[in-house]
Amino acid sequence: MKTIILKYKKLSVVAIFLVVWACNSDLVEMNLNPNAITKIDDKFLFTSAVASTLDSKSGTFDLRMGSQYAYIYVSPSLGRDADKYTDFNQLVYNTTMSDLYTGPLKLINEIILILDEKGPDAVTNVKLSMVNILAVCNYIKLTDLYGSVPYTEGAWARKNILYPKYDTQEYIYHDMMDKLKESITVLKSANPKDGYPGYDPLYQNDLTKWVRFANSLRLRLAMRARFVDPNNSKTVISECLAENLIEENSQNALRGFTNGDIQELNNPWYNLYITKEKWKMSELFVNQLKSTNDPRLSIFVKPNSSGGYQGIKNGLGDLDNGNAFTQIQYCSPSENLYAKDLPAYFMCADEVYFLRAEAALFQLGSGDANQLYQAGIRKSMETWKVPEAQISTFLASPEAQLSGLNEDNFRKICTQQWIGLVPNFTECYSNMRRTDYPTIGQRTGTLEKGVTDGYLPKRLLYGTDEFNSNNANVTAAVAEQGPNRITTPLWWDVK
Amino acid sequence: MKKDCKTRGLFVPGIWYQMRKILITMKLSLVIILFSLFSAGASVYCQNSKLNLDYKNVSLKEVLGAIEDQSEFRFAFSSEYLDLDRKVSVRFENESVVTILDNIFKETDIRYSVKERMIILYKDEVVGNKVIQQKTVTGKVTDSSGAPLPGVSVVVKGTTTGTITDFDGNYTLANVPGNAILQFLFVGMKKEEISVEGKTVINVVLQEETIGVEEVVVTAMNINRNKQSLGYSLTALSGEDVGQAKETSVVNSLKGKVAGLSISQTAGGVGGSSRVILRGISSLTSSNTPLFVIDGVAMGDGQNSGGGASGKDMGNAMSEIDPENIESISVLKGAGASAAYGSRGANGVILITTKKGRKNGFGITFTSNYDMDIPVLYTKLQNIYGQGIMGMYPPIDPVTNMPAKSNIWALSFGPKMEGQMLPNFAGKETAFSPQPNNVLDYFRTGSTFTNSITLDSGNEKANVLLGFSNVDSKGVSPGNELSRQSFNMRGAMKIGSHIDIDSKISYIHQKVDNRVYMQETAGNAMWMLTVMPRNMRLADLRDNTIDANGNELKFQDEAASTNPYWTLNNLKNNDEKHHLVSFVSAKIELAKWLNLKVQSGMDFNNLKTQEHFASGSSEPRLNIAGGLSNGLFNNLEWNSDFMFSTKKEFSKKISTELNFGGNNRYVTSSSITNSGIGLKAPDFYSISNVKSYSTGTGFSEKTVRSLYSLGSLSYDQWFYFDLSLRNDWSSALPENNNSYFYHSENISLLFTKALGIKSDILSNGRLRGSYGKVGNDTGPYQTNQYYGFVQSNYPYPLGSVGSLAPTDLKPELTSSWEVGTNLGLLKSRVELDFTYYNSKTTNQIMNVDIPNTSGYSSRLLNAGEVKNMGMEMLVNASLIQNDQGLNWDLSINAAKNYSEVVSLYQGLEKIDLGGFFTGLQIEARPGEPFGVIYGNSYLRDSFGDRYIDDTGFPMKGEIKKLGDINPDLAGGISNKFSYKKISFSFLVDFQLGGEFISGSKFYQYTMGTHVNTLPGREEWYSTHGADGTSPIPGVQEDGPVFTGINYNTGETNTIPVLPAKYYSTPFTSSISEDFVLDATNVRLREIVLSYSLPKKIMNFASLKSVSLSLVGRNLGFFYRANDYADPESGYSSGNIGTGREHSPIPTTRFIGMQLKVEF
Repeated sequence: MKTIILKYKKLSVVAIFLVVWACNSDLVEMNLNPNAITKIDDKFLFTSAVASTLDSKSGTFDLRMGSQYAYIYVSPSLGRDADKYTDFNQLVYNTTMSDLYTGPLKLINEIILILDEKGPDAVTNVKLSMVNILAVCNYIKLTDLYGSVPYTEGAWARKNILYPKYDTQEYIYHDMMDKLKESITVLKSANPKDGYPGYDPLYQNDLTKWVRFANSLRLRLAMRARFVDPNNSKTVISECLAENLIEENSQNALRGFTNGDIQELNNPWYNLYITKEKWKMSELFVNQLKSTNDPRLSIFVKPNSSGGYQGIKNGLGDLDNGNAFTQIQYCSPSENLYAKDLPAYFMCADEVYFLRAEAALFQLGSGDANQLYQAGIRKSMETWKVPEAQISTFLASPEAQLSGLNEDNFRKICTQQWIGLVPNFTECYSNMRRTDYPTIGQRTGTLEKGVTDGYLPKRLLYGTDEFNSNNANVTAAVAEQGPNRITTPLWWDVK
Repeated sequence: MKKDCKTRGLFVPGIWYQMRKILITMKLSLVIILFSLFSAGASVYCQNSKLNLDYKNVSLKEVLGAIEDQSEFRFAFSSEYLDLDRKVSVRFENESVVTILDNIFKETDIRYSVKERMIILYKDEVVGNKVIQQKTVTGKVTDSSGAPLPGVSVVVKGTTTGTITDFDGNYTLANVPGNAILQFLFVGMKKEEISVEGKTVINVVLQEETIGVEEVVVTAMNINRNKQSLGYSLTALSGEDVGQAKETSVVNSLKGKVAGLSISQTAGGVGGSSRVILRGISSLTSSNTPLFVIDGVAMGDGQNSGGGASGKDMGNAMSEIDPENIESISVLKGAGASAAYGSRGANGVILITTKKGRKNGFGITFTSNYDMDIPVLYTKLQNIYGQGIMGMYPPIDPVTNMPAKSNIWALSFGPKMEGQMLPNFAGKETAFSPQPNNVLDYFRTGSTFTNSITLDSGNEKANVLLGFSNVDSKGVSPGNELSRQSFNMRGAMKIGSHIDIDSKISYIHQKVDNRVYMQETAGNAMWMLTVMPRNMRLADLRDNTIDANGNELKFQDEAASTNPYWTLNNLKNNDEKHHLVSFVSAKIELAKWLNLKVQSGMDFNNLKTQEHFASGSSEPRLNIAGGLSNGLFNNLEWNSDFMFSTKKEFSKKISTELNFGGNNRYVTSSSITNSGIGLKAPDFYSISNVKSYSTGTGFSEKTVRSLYSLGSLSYDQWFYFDLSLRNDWSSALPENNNSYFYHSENISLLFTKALGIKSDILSNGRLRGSYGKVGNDTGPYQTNQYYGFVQSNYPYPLGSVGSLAPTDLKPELTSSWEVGTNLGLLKSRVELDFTYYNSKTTNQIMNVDIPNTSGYSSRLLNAGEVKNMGMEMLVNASLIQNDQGLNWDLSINAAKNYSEVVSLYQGLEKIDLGGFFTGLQIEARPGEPFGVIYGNSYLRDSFGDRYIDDTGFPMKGEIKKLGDINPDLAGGISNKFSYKKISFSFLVDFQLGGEFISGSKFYQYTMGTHVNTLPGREEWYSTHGADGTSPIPGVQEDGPVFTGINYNTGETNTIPVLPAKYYSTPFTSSISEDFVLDATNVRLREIVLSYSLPKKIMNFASLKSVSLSLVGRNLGFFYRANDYADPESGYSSGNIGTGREHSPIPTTRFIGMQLKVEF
């Protein structure tokens, strides 16, 4: 009958609808992201942590700020904030910090969480030791640029620490030295199988190289703290010298790049240089190399059209600087300094020899200062493939002899270390602050003095991000360390 | 269980899954539309259909049922007079229904009448013993102006007998009992009842219902309501309101017409998006756009990106609605109005009802529009000084003969342009002369050609509408083009007497070429044009785009700069979108007192995007090696609803209505993207041709289920109370918090009626009040901690950690209340409407900035509270209404919104909403309105005077509040005059107060191109030597002087400084106060002049109506507080859209013509 059919139709519509409405899969299940996973093996994070730690050496800070603070380059741009000693480059202040905390340090702490869950055993200890060395690599850069930074609580949002407190540089230095010591002890006797075989882009799980690297880093820390904390430094230095250090260029800690078409595998500076600002060489750097007949001059600097070498003064005013850039006698960097396959150096043999030379010079360790000094120069020149004949010639020149007064010898070591560290510009800058060599002094004459009254800035500012979101902690750090200015010296910067 | 989830996600290919769902809906609606097409076309059904019946001694009921079974006929009768159990015997072969009925009912008092497929059985009225004379009544129904009214229902009171008027308003009704009363019913007109006694011709003039008295409006869940009964503010607009002065995007036509609705277009060119905000910003970080609902189907958010970081504006879905197809628009404001739509109604709802087929007959409407977009420059550039600095032209390179190209030399602080011969940037000698038109001449006059045709047909059982429209639009920016085709099929039908079916399929195809690049991106030509030296010839730039090595040739070395013609030729983008909107719905009368409506609707879009650039650019964002990026995006929103509704009148005075329903919303999206750099072979833009590439895929889905109930109670037509209750279950929230309940209550009180006030001054008055609470969820996949892998060519796998998972996420809540009044004055010729509202959003789900030093930059959590309060005012007045046909209507609306960020999260000082690199930030700070502008100020003394240092330059002060992006007051004034067939209207809209950050001013100052960088130059150069810096001995130095007092001496500063430094100081010292500009403006938004052809001509040409309109939009400013930009040309349609402007393409003045012909 019609009416029954009608009724049936109505019911079926309702039924169909209710089925559609009720048949959706479970709501909770639907909210699981099919594009991601909820568990990961720590080895995959380790690769990432190593890669991003090493990559941080080829970041834009090192190139754009570090290279100018270190008097290697001069920038042509109107906003030459670094070179003009201004202090409003918040982008740099914010990202230099955030890149490391939200990059390698986040990954490192995630690995530690995973390892902690597994519980302590031999394997975990070896892995933790490697990871701790990696953490130190990042914290050295952070504390040497800012001073106090979040350390014990840094990058621990996953432990629900959203607002990390700051630790003093002194504390961080001591703790880093302790951590490295522990790591060295564990790794010296470790079975390489317990490390990260197949997942270590730095040393391909060669634990002896890891030990050399950790020990060399520890030496760098102790030397950097030696003026402010002589007793502890002395002990640490002697401990370091008793262990294996980086001695050969094959043991260098670096991130290699390739000279291919894949931009991702090129040194990012290549692209920055060819597309962005065309830096020119700093007068101080060019003159140093020129005055000592250093064979690295032609390797670092592209000669001008008349075959000569001339750099631009750092810190010129806008108009003078703009004029200088239109004049062809000023030299550009050679392609070696922005090659696609230019490695990003973390720590190299030459730096270690210079540190040892300095230790020897000031009786902090054994060895012949002059020999170590020359070994450092040789290692640096070998890195840049300087022909043996030129190396010998230079090593015979007065610049390569520690023959004068101690202070003058110290100046020579520091100056060579400055050259040897290129293109690790941030380390160049840190060493200049520590030793005051090469000496910059106050800018004079028509040059702009910036907010530092013409002196080399001592640190980076804490950025606005921290003041906005972590105000209480950063304010406490400022109260302890001194005003948040680029002129406030760091703990170890007492010379 | 967890494992299952993962595999499910991986094994259901997103696109197929969606397509299958769409196909199901498509098929259904197609069947219905075809069916209704068929039935609408067959009007001689009665004669043609032949039936076979063979029954012996069965009940009448059975025979009638058999007729219904065999045919499409349906019987209407009342069992009061029809004896259904009467036994009958019939035997017919191939007979018409007429013969059969004549036979069945002979010798009874039952008569029948056939209307299309409806057969009405009725009883001859007998008074006493005499059969009352039946007669045929004819007549014509017109409105008060004499225009015929088609579609008016003419019904014999108390029966089902009736008809409707045809196109000329004529009707004929047979078999009307001599003592009957005819009722004339038409929406929007007063009901008329006339006795037929002694008449055979009844002509009726229906009176329009007075404004506001019984205006029927579409409200939530597509329920038609008397506007008087609403407890909240609702603005209704007709299709006319938006169709006449239409823009390619329908939302832009709403500008200035709705109090509290703020609409601004980005500078994204044709195909760009609009920022639509109702009653201010309530959600700090997520979308504040109201929900668009078309014919009851919620529109998906689609793939929209309103400009911003990507540099181009991909448009948003609402810009694709065909304006020609709109019947009416209701704007529902506030939570009270929108609680019925759930989470997404929290920001208000814009309900769009599209046209349906007519109920009677057949019609064709043809509309044709031609519009011109004329570019207008709202900044003023100087034409006196050319390239260089310190009054000098750059030094010439002896080898290339090119002027020095470092950016210090690319300023316009060089020598006066006096026609001297100098080598240009390409090394060719040219006259150094001003180029006053070198910005506008780059652009062209845009045009839009729109043609649409609508066919519709129907009868009382079924109707159908077919529409097609085509839009071809050329933007003012060269190469920026849009082409859009919309197909529209709407069909409705009645099945039996109990089921009404409605369905629609709209398909929109849109292609856009070369969307405009905005703000600081390589492709923004306007940026380069407004900063390049004022002597730069466009022809030189155009003819010299490539240097000897085949690379881009530029006028300056600065990496970010480009030759605008190089990018025009070598940086291209295009996108194509297929957008399908469909629904099918059925309204079923389950019983006399119970209706069920079921509906399922889908909004699907598929977007393909492509972008590529040639090799050779030194612009770092483009990459010297060339590159491309492609994307394919699918988005589906599928809503299914059911709703039971019942009405009951308890007495003559009290009546109630109750609805109970449910909604299931399923949203899914999937995408494939790939990009690469380094072209192996030049000019071949395929992912197979790049040296390094990366790809990405994405999939997401989410479901929200809801149950809701809407109830209303009315008492004596002066008191109305509405209640809505709703509970949502969302898949995007954690299991323990995924269910949330909310509600709203509305009261409307017609106090004039309640108190019996009858006055010509206060014709009617109403008070209303509303309270509502709306919950909201978040996007999918936010509640777990995830890991992934970085796509990389690095020879090791690179694991990654996803964003920091929230711990205990709760739904977000917006609660609001409003009170308002609506008064009809002077016999309802003046309508006043006033609303005060107050809303508060708490537990906002947002990504809160946490210190980067924690390892993560943000965490999703419940934080923050934002309050909005404001007032809306509307005045409608019929100033002139006379018998000669002259009318003057005035409408004024104004709104003031005040927002306050009450709290953020713990110690969080502020949230950065968007910045500009001079240190200016748009922020949300506790205690301040949403969107305050902070930046470095000048250092000032207590009197407000600037401190100037000993070298004559101002000093940097603290970071402080420099502005607020919210206007103090915004609204529109419209006047409409009509005289017989001519009407003329204009709309002025205004914004008072509010500030924005001007990137244009920033660059035009620094580069010396703006006319305001002239003062002081002449004085400086005339008192300084040829080097432009050293003072001439013995001459008093003169030049631009910073007003202020010396910091050390307290004396008024008198030190002149180098002009280039004077105007670039804010840049170099990062003092940003000067770049925050007042957005106040009053503009002539719209003028419409339209004319309808007289009846006589129309009858001659057998047309129903022809109208011709001239339209102008955005014609100019009566007042504009700044000299640098149109304050409406922001580069994003996001929450702070209007707050930032940076070198937008010229705003356009729009002039158009429309021809509308109805057959």
